[in-house]
Amino acid sequence: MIQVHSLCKHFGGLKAVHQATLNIQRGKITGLIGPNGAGKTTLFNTIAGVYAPTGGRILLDGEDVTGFAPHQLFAKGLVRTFQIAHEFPTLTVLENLMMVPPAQLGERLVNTWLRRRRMHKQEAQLRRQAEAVLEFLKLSPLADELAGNLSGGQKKLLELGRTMMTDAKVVLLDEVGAGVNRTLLNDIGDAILRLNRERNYTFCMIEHDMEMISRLCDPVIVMAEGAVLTEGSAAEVNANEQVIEAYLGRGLGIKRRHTARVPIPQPRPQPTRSDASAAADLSEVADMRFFIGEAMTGGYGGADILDACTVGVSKGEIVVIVGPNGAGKSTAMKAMLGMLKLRHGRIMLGGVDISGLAPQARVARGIAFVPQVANVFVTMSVQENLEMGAYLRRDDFTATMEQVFELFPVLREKRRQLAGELSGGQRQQVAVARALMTKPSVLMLDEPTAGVSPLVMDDLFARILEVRDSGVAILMVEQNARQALSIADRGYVLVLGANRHTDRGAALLANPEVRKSFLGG
Amino acid sequence: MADLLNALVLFANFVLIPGLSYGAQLALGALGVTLVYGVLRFSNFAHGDTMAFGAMATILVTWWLQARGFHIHPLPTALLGLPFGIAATVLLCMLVERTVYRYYRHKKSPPLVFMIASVGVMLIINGVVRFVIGADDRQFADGQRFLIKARDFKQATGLSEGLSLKVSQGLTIVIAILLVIALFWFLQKTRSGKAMRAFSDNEELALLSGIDPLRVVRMTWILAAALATIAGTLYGLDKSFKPFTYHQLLLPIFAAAIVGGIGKPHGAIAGGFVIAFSEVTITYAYKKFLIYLLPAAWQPHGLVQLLSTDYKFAVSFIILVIVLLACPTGIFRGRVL
Repeated sequence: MIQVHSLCKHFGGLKAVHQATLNIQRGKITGLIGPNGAGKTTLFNTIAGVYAPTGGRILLDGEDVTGFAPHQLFAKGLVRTFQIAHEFPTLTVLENLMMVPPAQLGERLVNTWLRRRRMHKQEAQLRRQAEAVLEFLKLSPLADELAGNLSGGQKKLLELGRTMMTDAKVVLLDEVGAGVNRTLLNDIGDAILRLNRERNYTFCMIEHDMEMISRLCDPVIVMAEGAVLTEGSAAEVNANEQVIEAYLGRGLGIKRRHTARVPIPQPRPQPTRSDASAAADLSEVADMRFFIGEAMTGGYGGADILDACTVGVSKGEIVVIVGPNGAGKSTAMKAMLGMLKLRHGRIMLGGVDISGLAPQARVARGIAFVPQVANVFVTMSVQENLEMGAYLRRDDFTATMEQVFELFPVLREKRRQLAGELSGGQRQQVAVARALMTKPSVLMLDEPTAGVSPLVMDDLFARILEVRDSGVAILMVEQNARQALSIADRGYVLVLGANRHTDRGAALLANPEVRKSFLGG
Repeated sequence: MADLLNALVLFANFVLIPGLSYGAQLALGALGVTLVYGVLRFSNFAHGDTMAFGAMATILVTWWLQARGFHIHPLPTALLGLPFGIAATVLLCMLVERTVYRYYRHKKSPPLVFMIASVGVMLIINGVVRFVIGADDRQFADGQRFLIKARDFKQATGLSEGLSLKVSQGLTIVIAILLVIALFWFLQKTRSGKAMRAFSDNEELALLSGIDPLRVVRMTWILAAALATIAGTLYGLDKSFKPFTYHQLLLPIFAAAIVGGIGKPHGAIAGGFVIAFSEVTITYAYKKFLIYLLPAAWQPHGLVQLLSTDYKFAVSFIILVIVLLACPTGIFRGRVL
């Protein structure tokens, strides 16, 4: 279907893709994996015509399409999706889908007068098609919602839906799974499988989630340093020594040297509770937590997203918030940071009510926040990023910087480099490092591992454990619920902005109800 | 050989030196525009008239000093007036920020609203300047006029073409170089400068790092006001001060900022010289230059002027349109407008 011959794409001296040769076979779902910075997305962009290749050839159905523009390739049935969803935020979900097919009659003013009937007919047909797509993706209830209001995972589904509105023959999926919870991920996986079987779509997907790769993809192509490392079935790739070395790592087991410590005494073992009793019990526990948002209710102006939600964290503890997409996990954290106005509830830090403080004032009090995206200053060097993190400190922070470099040795090497030139995993390290420069007592992380390879994820979690052990209270939202809960001291499960379950991480992992709903069995 | 040297001197005298000093003036103006755009995220149409205001304030102080008999011969007295002019312009910018822009910033208005508001500010400042100092040409240059006089140059070299370098031109180039170095040092090395860059890069994250947005806004206006006053005064010294000229300068200044890549300080400098040299080279009459170089039979009869100087603004406009069509991010990949 698509043959790529010794493709090269260099950016100045950086050889993002170098001599990559691969073959995407018709009717198959090809997986593309590799460590951060391996050139996967660049390869996609080059195939899709976003970048002109530096060398090599690309054949689509035997036709040489090297150097074609994206819209020409689109017309030939090659469609790509983006790692970060590109929706039209001010149009509804349905409208987003309806506007995908090109050259619609209604796009010409003259047709709105002269071909009224045909235009309306075409529009009605498009509407039916879009509704069918939404049905297929189980998004029908959201048809009239503005696309900008969708959660991250729902946007990914919409992105998939957009490809279904075209006559796509081959679809390039760039990390559809990043930032999507397990249940929704399974839905997306099902949708991809059905599209592949029923409509004969060919897929090539970049994905970091090995479970998804194993389930969907055959063959799997592994990239490293801009070239193809190996190719084979998921099982073969999984067992390949080189791949384990370069990419998969050996799981948290070997890295978790720091967890072998005396566990911080829990106030008491907390059995999984139902909604009603949780609220009652939590109010007692509340006073013991260092940083807590109590009975938070509020949203971004429209409907309330948080519904009497309580989240708290003690010093030296990792607390993870999990839940389905759209449950208000990130919103809960933003409320605790002061980025949205609460109608009810209060935020306490070390026994002081800080509900009235602006985010900057809370930062000054030792709360650090790492946003999910745009979390580094891309035009500044790594060192400058760290200096900005320490902006509020008037004392000498070289010792802190030294500690941070100790924690993230890569950053010491790259401290003169612009943060925008780093790979995704390294950027994530810069983001965490920047937040640590204030010597915070509370560190909040919004999906720190979204879109990073398993190896980097293990590494990042290991660092977070180290930070925890230095006595910092860590609160994070994480889509990778299973891994996150396995390192968490406690976890909160939120559903529709309210507390559903609260328990120790391991207990939540073992809880059959939680497993079924959020961890995908 | 003498012909070739004469041609080169002619070219340096009428294209190179004027281009350099005009380019430096545009670069300083464009730096102010680009700073405001990079940090405050809107196109400040009032910048040309802010330059006029700054120059006016400097001129008023300069006149007062001249009347009192203060001077720093051979340098122009205006240099003494400059700090006062800067102070007055900073006050003006703060006043505008307080009364106009802060309201829209509080409302989180889109950049377009800021831009339209700046058009209103431009008209008001323009009116104030003309009300205070009048719409006519004003002279305030004193001190020595030339660093190199054309006649001395001719005598020294024996060439028939003279090269002259005005004090104002030399000052413009020297001050521009010093100012640019100081600005880059400030942005790259100081805590405040880095905070400005951080704010420009990612406002949300800058807030999360505890950078005070009001302070960054204030610093930006101080820098923009200082740059505008210096650029305005140097332009006035080099040519003459006329409020309407400054109003028109807005176009080449914006063209310079956009051509270089808006939001990028080094882009503003490059853009300033690109625009200045395009204007000067296209509107220069090459007749004499070619007479020196070409054999007698090929000598031109006309002026060999590509465009009359009346149309010099068309040059920056055309360059602007071409850049926006061909590569909207400019030479140094600034933001897309």
